Amino acid sequence: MTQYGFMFDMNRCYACQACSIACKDWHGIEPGAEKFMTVYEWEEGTFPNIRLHSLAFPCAHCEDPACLKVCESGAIYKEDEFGAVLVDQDKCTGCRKCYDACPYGAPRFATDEPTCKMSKCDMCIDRLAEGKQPACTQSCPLRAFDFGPIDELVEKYGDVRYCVGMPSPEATKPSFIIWNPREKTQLLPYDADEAIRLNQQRGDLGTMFESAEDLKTFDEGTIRRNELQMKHDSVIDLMRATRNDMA
Amino acid sequence: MDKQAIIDASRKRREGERIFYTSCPANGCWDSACILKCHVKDNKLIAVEPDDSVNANDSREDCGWENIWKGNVQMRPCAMGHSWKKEIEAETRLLHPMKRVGEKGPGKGYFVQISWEEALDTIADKLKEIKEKYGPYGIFHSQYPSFEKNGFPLAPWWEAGFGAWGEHSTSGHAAGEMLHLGVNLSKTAKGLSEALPGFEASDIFNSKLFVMWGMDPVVAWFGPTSYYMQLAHEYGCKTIVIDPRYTQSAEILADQWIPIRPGTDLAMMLAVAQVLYEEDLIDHEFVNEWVDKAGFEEWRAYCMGEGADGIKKTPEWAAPICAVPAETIREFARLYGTTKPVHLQYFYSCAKRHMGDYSAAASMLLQAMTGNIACAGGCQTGACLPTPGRVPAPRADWHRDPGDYKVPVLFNNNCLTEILACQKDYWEGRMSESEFRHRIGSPNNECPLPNIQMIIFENNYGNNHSNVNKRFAGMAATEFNWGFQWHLNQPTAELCDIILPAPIWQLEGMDEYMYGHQRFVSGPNGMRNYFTFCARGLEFPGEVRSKEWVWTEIAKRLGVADKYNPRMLDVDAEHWVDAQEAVYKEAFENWANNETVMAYLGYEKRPTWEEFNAHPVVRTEIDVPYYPFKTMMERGESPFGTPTGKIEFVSNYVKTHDMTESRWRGKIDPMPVWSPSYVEGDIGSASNDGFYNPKVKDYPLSMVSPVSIYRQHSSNDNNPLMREDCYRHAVWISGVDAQARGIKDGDICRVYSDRGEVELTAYVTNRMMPGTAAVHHGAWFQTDGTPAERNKFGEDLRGTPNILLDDGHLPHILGALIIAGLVEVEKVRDGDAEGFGNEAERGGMRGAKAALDFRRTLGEGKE
Repeated sequence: MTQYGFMFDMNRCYACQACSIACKDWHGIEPGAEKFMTVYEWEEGTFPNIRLHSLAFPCAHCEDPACLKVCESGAIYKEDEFGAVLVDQDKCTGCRKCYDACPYGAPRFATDEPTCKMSKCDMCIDRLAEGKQPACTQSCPLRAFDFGPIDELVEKYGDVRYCVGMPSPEATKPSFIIWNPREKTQLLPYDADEAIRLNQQRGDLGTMFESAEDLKTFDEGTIRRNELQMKHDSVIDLMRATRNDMA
Repeated sequence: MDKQAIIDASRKRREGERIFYTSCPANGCWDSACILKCHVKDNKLIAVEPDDSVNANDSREDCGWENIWKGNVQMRPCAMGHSWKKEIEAETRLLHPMKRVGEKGPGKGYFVQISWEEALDTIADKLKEIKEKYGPYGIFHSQYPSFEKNGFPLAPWWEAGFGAWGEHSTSGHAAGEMLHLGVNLSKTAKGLSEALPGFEASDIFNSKLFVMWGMDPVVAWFGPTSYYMQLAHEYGCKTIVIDPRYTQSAEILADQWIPIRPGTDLAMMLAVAQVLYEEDLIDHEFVNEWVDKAGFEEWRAYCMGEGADGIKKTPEWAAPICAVPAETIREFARLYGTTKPVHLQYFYSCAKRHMGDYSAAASMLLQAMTGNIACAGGCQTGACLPTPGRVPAPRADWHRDPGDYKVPVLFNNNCLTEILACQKDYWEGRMSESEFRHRIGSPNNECPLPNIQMIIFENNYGNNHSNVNKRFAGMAATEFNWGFQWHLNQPTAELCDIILPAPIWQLEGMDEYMYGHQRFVSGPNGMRNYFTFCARGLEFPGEVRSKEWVWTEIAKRLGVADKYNPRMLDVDAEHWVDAQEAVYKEAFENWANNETVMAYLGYEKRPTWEEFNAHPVVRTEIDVPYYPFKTMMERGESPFGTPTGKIEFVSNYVKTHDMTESRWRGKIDPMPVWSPSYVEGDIGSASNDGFYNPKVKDYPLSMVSPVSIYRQHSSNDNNPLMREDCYRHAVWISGVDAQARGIKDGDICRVYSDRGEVELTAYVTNRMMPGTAAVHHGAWFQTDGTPAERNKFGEDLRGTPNILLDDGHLPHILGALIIAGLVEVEKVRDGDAEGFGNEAERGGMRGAKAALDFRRTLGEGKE
């Protein structure tokens, strides 16, 4: 077996969801939580020192998959040609132990019903068998993905399999390489304190807020998508974490 | 299932599929013309794969710089391109002709199904009746009067309908472009001028600095150009985003974000100019050759405080207006003035607000004084889109009679709402002719005046421009409207007496796109080095029929079919698409038989029709990328059609004309100034949408309405693979403003202005400047009939920002389509404990259900 995997460049992703919809389109999946490919977008920092991050994550098809180990019905298996982690729905009982075990929350459930069987990214093995690449990686408008034998990807792109907010790769050895967001070198001086002071004033129309502190502290839940969260308690939580506001 | 069973199941699913290619440009996605490989089975769209015509099976498409420069790259579609099947099979799809029972307007009536014959007979009779009663200018066709054209297909022979000057997209830039640069897009659109102001995507690689001023290309400019901006950034092109929002483009394309208060761009530009003048960071060689000296000196004096107002427009002057530190403005000016070439692009949207004309003009003057306006790696920063085509494509010949009706230009393209609001007063003698002409942008004092009593819709025009309450009321007040619609719950359907089911042209049948764009679809501006033949798609669902068949049937009833469509006179609906395909095939044969064309395109042997359909993407290579005005500059000709033939910092046309009696019908100063001579106070307080307008006491948030990546204007707003799956439609509000209002992310809010109100979920984010808001353009007005204080037709459950925006103009130049306004946001209730349910009911198919259920309560479906 040659382990295949993904390379994902966070510097090229703008959370547009083309990969996620191309996946649903190819697999014939209905709208909703059965997102084999999930796209997260979250912000970091406060005004005006803010960054925005995006992660498009299907399943890492781990070399040491936690989901497989806990499946009591033997429904999850590692396929022997590309190293894809697959599910046999005929055997799945919907117990969700795989979901609890997977640090990435990759197993999918269309509903919260206890009878709902697990489904997941199948690495597009039907496409791989025809010499094509997965639907998601091929559809990225900014070419944020590469796909291939993981050894070749490591050689080309290095071996970081983590970004802030993700679980440690040590646990399951994910086949998912990440280029993390680059540090930005400012071209121009920008005095944030001065900018906040300017923002506070609106001429004769009064001040916009009382103090700089108002821009930094918020009640719980005021800003929701401010960290990467890959595990979700319900379909609702998953949907909320994987929708953006660009429309 | 084991692995092989999964593979087998997939193969079985795909057994018997037909593959065809198409392209799905739509006005609203910059006509991106991406390439779609469609899998079809049993007349159903099974899946869409991205372009595989080059570099197949290479996800990262590392095809080498040379290929990228030459444009040998895939045209991958966006999320919408992969979601078409849900649009095609939508529960809300309009599948039959329907007529309205009751008055027009949401909540005033409902629809019943009728036959095609009844629909066509009624429409033809009404056309004759309206023309008889109100003359040829009683009929208005919504697609598209812009650029002095008219979309009414039968106009050349049945002699009715009219056009408009101006257009929607660059309407805020047009005044600056025409008056200071002398560039007229109407002329380039008609092929009468070679002064094309666009640039080809790979020309960005020539830029050393890219300033995205109000520009969010990954969202607002989908396609190859934004991809090339990404590559340029990686390649080392420094990039700065100036925007009230920290956009995705600010994150992935830029080195730095400079937040600026909406509507204050001109102040920062004046300060930049002041630094450039003071420190002599001017491209004297360019200025000497191409810039009118007197105007250059006059604007210098103004910026330097030597003009009438005596105010030096220093960075320190601009800083408190823009909320950008003075040091940042000064250093920006220095970087800008010492780097070359610079692609500074002031995006369309920023100027589409009151007095935005001035900031747009100033951006062009900055590019001119630094010599960046007409060079490789530069940017014209006006329309900056049109580029020459590179690929000779076939052209189907329908043997149409050219006709001799000259479409009269009667109004400004963005004043339809105003015509409808005041035409009755004019025609019944309560408004003076002069007043009417001024309000509608009548191009001169002699041309006829409209009395629109029939609107023909081929889009979602009702919903898509500012001041929806006023617009709906005007559209509902005409005698008879009809049009092609796609969904039962489209807001524009509510303004029609008859609606006809329209094909999704990209994927069904063989109709052309619009404006005479045939199915040999050119790549988008910036990448016109390929075309795609959009092959015959699916059979029509329900009773949907070809629009061209419909027009031919109407033409027969009006007696002009032999001129409109002589080759198809005897073709019935059943054989219509076959006949269209035959004409396209004939066009292909003529093209393929042209040996010069074949040699130019590098065909070793002439392709057959079957081969062409299997590989319908034809590419050439971009040798030297086009830059603004390249063709004319290289010939040493001036592309600048001003009175002096040079770039005029102070417009001589404005100086020597009474602009209030020109087609612009308003005042404008001859150069961009912060305090226009004819208004009290400065731009910030004078404009209705300004951050410093006294109105902010009641409506303190300055709202922008950017375009979306999940709608093409308003197409796809119903698509359940998009709405609530990829995104939620929300009002963006900053953390500090939300906290002050007790609003948390996901809460249901009322957003209101002095024009209207909507209910929206709140997206609370620190990506916004304090005091700003955003609601994306294109959402449909949907009501369940619940009364709303500020809306004539009920509460808007889905949230069109246009209902919040004013369409009025100050006593200054007409033309811009207003897309910004002042609003307040208040919390209505918690997002429900679970979040998803409550929000979802407000969008997607379930939002549609509320609107359709409402019509049922009025009687729909009961007879």
